Amino acid sequence: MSGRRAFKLAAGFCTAAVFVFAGVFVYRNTENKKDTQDDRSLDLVLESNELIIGLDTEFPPMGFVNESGEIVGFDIDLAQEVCDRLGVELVKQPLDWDYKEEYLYTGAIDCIWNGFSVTPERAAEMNLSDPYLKNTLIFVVTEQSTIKNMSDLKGKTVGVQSGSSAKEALEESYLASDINIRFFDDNLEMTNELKNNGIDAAFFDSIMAYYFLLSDNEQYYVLPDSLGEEEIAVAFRNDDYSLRNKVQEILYEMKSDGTLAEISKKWFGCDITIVR
Amino acid sequence: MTMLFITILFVSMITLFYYALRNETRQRIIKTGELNTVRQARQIDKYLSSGTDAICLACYSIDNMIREGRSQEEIRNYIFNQSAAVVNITSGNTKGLYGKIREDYITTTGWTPGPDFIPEERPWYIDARANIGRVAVVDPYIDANTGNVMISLSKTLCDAKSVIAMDLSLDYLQKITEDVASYSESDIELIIDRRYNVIAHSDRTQIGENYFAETGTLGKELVEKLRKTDADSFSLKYNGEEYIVYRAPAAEDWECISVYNATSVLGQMRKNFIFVIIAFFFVLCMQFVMAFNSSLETKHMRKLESDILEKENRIGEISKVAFRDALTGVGSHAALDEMADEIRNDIKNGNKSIAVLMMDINNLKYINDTCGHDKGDDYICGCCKMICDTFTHSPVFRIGGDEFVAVLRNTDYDNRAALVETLESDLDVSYNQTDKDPWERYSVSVGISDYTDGDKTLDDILKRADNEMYISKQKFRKKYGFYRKDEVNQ
Repeated sequence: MSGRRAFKLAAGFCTAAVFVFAGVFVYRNTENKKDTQDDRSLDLVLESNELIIGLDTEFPPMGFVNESGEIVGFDIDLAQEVCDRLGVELVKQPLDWDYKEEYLYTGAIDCIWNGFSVTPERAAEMNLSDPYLKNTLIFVVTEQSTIKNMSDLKGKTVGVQSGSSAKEALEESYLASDINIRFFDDNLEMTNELKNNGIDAAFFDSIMAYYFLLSDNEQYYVLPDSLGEEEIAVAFRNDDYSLRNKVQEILYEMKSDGTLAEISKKWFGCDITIVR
Repeated sequence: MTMLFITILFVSMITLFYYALRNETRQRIIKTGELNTVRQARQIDKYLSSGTDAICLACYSIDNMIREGRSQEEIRNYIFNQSAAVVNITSGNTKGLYGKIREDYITTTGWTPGPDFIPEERPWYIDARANIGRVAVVDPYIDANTGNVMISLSKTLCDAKSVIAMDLSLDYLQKITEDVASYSESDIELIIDRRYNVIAHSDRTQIGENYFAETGTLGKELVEKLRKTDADSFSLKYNGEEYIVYRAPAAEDWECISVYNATSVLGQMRKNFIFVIIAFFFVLCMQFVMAFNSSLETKHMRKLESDILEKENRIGEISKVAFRDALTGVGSHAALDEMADEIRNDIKNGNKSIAVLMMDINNLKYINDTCGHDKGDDYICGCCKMICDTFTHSPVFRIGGDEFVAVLRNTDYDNRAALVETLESDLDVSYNQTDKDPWERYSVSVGISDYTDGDKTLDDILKRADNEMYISKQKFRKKYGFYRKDEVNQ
């Protein structure tokens, strides 16, 4: 009786040991794998032979309409290269920036690829790529303006693009209660309003500012303070792991072979990408 | 089955123990690496921020001067004053500020630009412009005069066209790195920037290398692994060596990296593990061989046992009903058939000392008819007893109502003549006891025959014995005639 019990105990212990053993191995092997099963996002893109990116066509130099009416920009070049390597057609779908999430989740677009800033909320509800650029949120004023730093903004009107992460950052900052915020559908409309003195300051990305300040003949001033830095990434639907991972893999490759640096140099004069 | 369980238990225990130990060792190494790199990263942050703070401060003042429309001369004076302070603050790790302010290139470092120098084409200018709003950290370069790694820190001014910059020597970081390498257990300590340029390295000759651009080096392997994982620590295999890497992020996406060559430590552990496993299986094999051997022996023993058992069974079978005459208890006809097989084998094997007795009871029918079958049975038993008492070492069979056979071998065979004589005289004595009842006066005719050449079976001998018995019966009848009624009636 006791012998049989001991045997049963030993057998039980062995089984447990085997399970622990197997568990350790399975754990070790699956540690770094993301669940890409049952996810056909990449297959669907390959089957339809097109990757539809959603973008704001008024966001130079990331994506904008040039003189000849074509949509061009840093992000367009990047997406085009990714599509070439995927072997699919790039489809550029202009969006109303306020409704970009709806476009994504109804399947009208495969991803948002247009200077899309990473915020904790966005990271929670979407599947973001690794960040590929850094961005600073800055204030720009006209040559005649007397505003020299952020404390001079009190009681003034500040423009910001609606639906942008800049808008969220501004509304959450300590300035929010002391300033009037005006919302604009796109950045070009906002800079025009700044030129016409409709607003006292424009609040936007340094990337956008780079293009705007350098391409405009008028003199503008950047305030020395900023409301912090942001990172830019590509946004996919939450479940679309296979597509996201494939695009990320191609971005890694582009970093490796220097294509990324080339595209960055074309638009910014130097390599400002932060892809690992 | 039990063996299997014990094997699995043992192997899994050893393996678990091995992994636990391995993990423990790794953790210890990682912990040391973590301490070093995190401390190092903090020093980098502090050092870099001393540079970026100096730039930001200068920037703030110059921005104001530009916005206030101050003259170029005033700004130049300010930069020179500020530069002296910056050199002081950074303990001489920078030579001073320089930059493109509005239309002019201003430098406080004492370096005179050549005629083909275009500030707008310099990396510090381009990078600053592309990073409006923050301090740009330009790719490191090696100062030709001092051999130190230098980086440029630059920032765009408020007009988005002017840029102020300074060069910062990273010799201090190199010293920190060498220091850490000297007291830590790690094999390599290094700092790389976000483009995988080596900023500082425990091996000075590696400074300024770009691991990303290399192929097939440890540095390249390291970089590829760094790109692929977010983990703070990981293992790396290169050229058959096993490394444990720890990293800590620093400012500007730089990374402090500690590389520990764990080949000898983990290798020794693995060797021990493999040795234990092999030793265990060796012992197991030995056990199997031993178990197999002993099972062979047991098999052999079993066969012997079963042989014995079979023989015993055969002996036992004789005593079974079929082989035993119900009345007298001697062998039956079936038993004689069995015996015949044995005799055939004996003959075949050259064992030919065999004699067979054929015996027939006289007067049985008479006794049965006149005294009843019960008395007849008694008569049969009595005759049988006399036969058995004579041939004590030989099997006796009753093969018919009044016929008996005895097979003589060994001692009985040797003494057959005397024994037959004894039997016949005993029978004579018994038959002549005329005072007894007829069923108690035993009488048997006996015929005997030896084995002779050419005999193959018991039957061959038996036939001759039968003839002998017949002759003997004739003699008996001649001597006594048929059973006499008068004697019965007496």
